[in-house]
Amino acid sequence: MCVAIPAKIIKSKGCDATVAIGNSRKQIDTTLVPTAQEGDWVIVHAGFAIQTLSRTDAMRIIQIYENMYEN
Amino acid sequence: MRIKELVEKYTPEKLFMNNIREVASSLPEVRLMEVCGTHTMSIARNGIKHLLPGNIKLISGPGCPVCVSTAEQIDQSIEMAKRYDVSVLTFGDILRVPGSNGDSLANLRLRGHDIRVIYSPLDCLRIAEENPSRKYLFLSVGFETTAPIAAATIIKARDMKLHNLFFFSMHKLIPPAMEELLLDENCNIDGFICPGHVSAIIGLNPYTELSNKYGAPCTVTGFEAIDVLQGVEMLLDQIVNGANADIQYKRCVKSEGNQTALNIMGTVFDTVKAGWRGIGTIKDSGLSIKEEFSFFDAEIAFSVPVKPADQKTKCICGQILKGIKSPSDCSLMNKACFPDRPIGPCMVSSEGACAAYYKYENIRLAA
Repeated sequence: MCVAIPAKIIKSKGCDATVAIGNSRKQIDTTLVPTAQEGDWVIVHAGFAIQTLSRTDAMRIIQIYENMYEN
Repeated sequence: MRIKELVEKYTPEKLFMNNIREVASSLPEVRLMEVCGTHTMSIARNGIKHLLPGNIKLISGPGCPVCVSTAEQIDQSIEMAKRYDVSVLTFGDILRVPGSNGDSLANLRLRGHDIRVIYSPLDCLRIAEENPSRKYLFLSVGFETTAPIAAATIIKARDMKLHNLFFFSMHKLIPPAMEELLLDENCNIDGFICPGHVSAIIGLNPYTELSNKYGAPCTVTGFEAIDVLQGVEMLLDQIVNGANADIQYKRCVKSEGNQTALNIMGTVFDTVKAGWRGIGTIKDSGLSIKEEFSFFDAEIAFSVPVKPADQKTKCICGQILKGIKSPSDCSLMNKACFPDRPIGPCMVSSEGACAAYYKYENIRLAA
């Protein structure tokens, strides 16, 4: 499955990070995006951040998922 | 016309559809293949095929890593679990995929074997660390989105000095499969809707190579309906003006991909030939654990004989995965193969072509 979810890093220590996905908090690994820092948006797949993205793009993707969920 | 009226009249979807209709009117039949299970589901859920002009055909390809795992690999997984009495950790979809004799990991679990579904390979580290006296086998399935994650996990297992966690790599690479299909004259592919998150890892370069070598239009596309429509528009533009691989899904995909992820993949895995269900063996399309990390290689630790699968079945998943047939062509659809009683992998996987067809496109006549 290719699903990857936008999430905001709210806490980071080494390659361990806590992200916010909506109202949820999740522990992820940032080994694959070592430059990601607190405040950055990433896309998360299977517990790992795989790419950084801008806040604008993250918001757009979240809106898309919310629309899909509502429908 | 004022800007406001223009914006209200021409929504992006309408603009893309207008452009698609205009370009398609001058083209013969065009066959565009998607090679990502999430695209399969999005196209089916949004009814995209029925929006497009009749000469623009969208075909599902081998975009589901579970669907293309061979029966031999399923047999191997089951035999490893039974012969060595190891606990199995796996992503969920592969549980119900049948092996060559119809057995599955789901059936093995029903018979009492310890088989657990996990969300992330990181869960394997925690489970193995908490239970040092038990051996764990992780079925590592996925394309390039998941392979670097598995690689990073193997490195962590080494750094944690775990001695009870082993990985069975069934990873496969998408671009070699795309090339194989381009060379298959039965497939007649005119362009590819390229996967979104695989491309977040591998970037644009592999598709640029295909475009340059074969003149194959390639567009990395996102997953919403509007993304797919724009992706189709961009592909038709390439058909008219010349193949030039490009990215529609710019919000997630960078041309250079994720070099860190690619480096980690290269540290742990060798590229090897691999079997693809329904397609056959494709060179340099699979990943095998390198000798440096061989301790974690389940094919070494839990060596079992690999027998060629002898499958006598009316299931046509193989032809569906190549885009030669569609799920509606299968004689088992609605008669013997259902989501809760699947026969082939394309129905088992939540992103398989048959599962998508059954859920969103199937017209079942009342008895």
